Amino acid sequence: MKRIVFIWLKRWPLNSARLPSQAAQPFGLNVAGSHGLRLAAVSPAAEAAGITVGMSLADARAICPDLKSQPLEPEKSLKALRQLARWAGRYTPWVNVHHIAPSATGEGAEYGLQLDITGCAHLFAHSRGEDGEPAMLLDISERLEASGIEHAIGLGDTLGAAIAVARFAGPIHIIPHDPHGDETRRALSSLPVDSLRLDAKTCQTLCRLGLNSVGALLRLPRVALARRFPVSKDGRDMGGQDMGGAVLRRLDQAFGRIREPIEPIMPVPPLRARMNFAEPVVETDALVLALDGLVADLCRGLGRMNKKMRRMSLWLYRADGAVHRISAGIVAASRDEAHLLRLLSERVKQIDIQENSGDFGIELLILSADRVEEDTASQPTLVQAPASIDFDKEIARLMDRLKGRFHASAGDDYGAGRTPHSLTPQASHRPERAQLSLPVRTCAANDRWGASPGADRQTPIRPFRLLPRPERVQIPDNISADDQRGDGPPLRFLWRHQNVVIRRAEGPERISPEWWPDAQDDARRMDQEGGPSSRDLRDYYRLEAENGQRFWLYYSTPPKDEADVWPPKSNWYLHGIFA
Amino acid sequence: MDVFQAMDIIKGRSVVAPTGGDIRTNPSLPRGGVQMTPQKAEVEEWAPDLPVWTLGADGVDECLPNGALTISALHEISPMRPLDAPAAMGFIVALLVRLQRGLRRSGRKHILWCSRGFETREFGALYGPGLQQLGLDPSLLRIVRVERDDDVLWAMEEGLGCSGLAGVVGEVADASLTATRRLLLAAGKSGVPGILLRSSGPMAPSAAYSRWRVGMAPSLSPHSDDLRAETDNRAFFPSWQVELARQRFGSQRLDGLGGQQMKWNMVWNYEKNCFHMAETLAAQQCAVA
Repeated sequence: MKRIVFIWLKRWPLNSARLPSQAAQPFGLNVAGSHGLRLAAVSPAAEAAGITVGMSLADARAICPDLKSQPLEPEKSLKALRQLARWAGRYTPWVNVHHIAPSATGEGAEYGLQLDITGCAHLFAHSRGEDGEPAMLLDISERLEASGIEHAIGLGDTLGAAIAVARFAGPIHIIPHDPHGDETRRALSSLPVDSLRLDAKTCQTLCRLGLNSVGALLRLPRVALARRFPVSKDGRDMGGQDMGGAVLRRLDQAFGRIREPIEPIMPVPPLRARMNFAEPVVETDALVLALDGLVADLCRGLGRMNKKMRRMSLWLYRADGAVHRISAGIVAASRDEAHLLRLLSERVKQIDIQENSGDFGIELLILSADRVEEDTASQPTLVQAPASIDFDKEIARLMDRLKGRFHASAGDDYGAGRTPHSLTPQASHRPERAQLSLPVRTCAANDRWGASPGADRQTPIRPFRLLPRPERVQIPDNISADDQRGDGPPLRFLWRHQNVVIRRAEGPERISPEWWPDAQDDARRMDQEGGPSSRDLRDYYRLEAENGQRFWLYYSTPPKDEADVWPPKSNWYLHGIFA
Repeated sequence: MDVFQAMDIIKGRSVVAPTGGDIRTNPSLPRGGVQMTPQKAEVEEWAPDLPVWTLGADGVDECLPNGALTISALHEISPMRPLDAPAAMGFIVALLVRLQRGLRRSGRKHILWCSRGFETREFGALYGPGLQQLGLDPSLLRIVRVERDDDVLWAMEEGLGCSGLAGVVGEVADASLTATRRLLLAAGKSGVPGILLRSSGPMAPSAAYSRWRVGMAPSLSPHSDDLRAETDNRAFFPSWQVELARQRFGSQRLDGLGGQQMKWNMVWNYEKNCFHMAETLAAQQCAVA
């Protein structure tokens, strides 16, 4: 049986935006409905003045003239809720957000966090054998309190029960574990039917029938409930949109007769190791020291599972609630402590612990093995000398370290940023598409370049460095576009303010555009930069200047809209440089 | 095996052929103050498994200590003029091809190329099809592209510490004496050679074992018979002016050359993976003509 915690966040939009929810000032957040602005969240002071959620802003102003209000930003509060869910990752990896956006009338919004803490609570026990659940809930509550977040926490065997007690049974309520459901029955029977996540209309109907509490519903025969509130065919009873169908289903969910698993917002790692600090740690060096034990822990766990790691994340929980994540990919799966430690400590040294904060330190470290794979002892083959396996391993480690150092990579013109990459051929005649830069992910050498290195007489020579995009060269004489073509390449041109006089030329080599349309993307990219289209017919020439520079130049058929421009633009582009 | 044993093998005193190609136990050729200069052929004859990094060009190898470039060391290439950078890079590719040839028995073949954003923007990114034609297998390249010199030097040092690599190349604007010394130490420890492409103009102090200056040179005319036979009247072999500006432990040969400047016009034959001297080629052409 699972143990589920539900954290009910009553005024989340106010809390998340750090608006004056606790202050004495009446305050509300409004949504635009069909009949003007309506309130979707109100501060305690406003509530005390008699203002409720769903009231129109005009009415509320009439009751309380100094009510301040601003529009609700649902995306922002959802984003903040997701961040809070990341923070809640310190309790369990199984966390999901519970978010129902307000309707046009401002009502019906729900915010919360669902945590599956099965097997996690003992980490919070103060002594061996003690049940850690109360301590854990207290810890959650204290931390939320410190951040000024209004909350109520329920713990039960099912999500439905946890939600019910969180919302209707006080700030912290624990339903003791009971496989038969008697404890859940006892806890829920006195609660109102609203606690069952039913829509307002159904609740109203039930109350009108005199069924005020969950206990009253439980006393009814199931058949009658099913007949009265049949499950709708498409099963759209989860979001509170559908009138009937929900009651029996919700009851079954609350009592565990229907499974309702929590879908974690982030993939649950197969293995985690955690380290709590008695005092928040501010020094980076101290963190690096602490990593030692953490990595050893994780590696021991991996060893027990006979697994190796391909990807790991280190989560640093700062005392003020900020969460920092470092993730590192590992080229050759490993559980070598020294190597992993080196990767992580390099990254930890880079981060700024106290970014945007005062003296808060790190109070918790969690190291998770995000991707693991079976530990297959590499077997030396007859072809491959054992030494070369060692070499591959060492190179894979080197790549890990380089990745760690140059990790913040934005893609550039060649697809790979600063991370180590290797070159892979691509079947294309377009020079700029003939190679791909792929980040180094595996240590296996790709020999897809095929032919042995060296030139053969059939394939034309290619430059060894290719410019990120072809650059237009200027032809000094103002000859018209038609004449530019002439009988061959230009005898002189201007490139990057350098006057190039050509001594020798070879060509042309005609390269046609590919007929299939997947080049749209780079066509657009090149056009934006004022460069040539990538879907043109090109005649390439190899040129050698008088001083020995060797260029790869091409003539491109002018685009239609440029054909009649005067003075004519040059249609010669420089694309590469020879050794 | 220690250095003296290696020397024995080279001199032919020992008849026990070295086994395996493990670079870590087989130090490269003895260097530094050793008063002997075996001929290249001699080395290859007696120690076929020892990695030897020759250029394969007659006039040049003789000028190097022991007739080859030191493998576990740092070498520096700089362009003669800013525009010569592609020539210097091409020369580096040629050196790498020779290096891989020398190391072919050891199993190490991957090259780490630490590229700089500036060079990429100015001269383009490394292009596999072209590299392949120069003789370097692009799949063996691991490329890191960074912006700052410090990052290049950091990556190079990491790479030089990894004894699984065949070589490390770094493109920098400038490097301090301390930085080059660090690289040299790392290279000496792991036995992985480092090649530094240093674009700054004047010859700043450096710990590199050999320092080359490379400039572009007009290629030979394709209509000369010898080259035409080889290139099929199609491509021009890359040709460069290469100058061995400084080198450590090479003084005895320098004396022998009578202070003659070590400057050559070299042509890279990528069909045979070796250098030609432009003069020799030209002479051959004349003879044929």
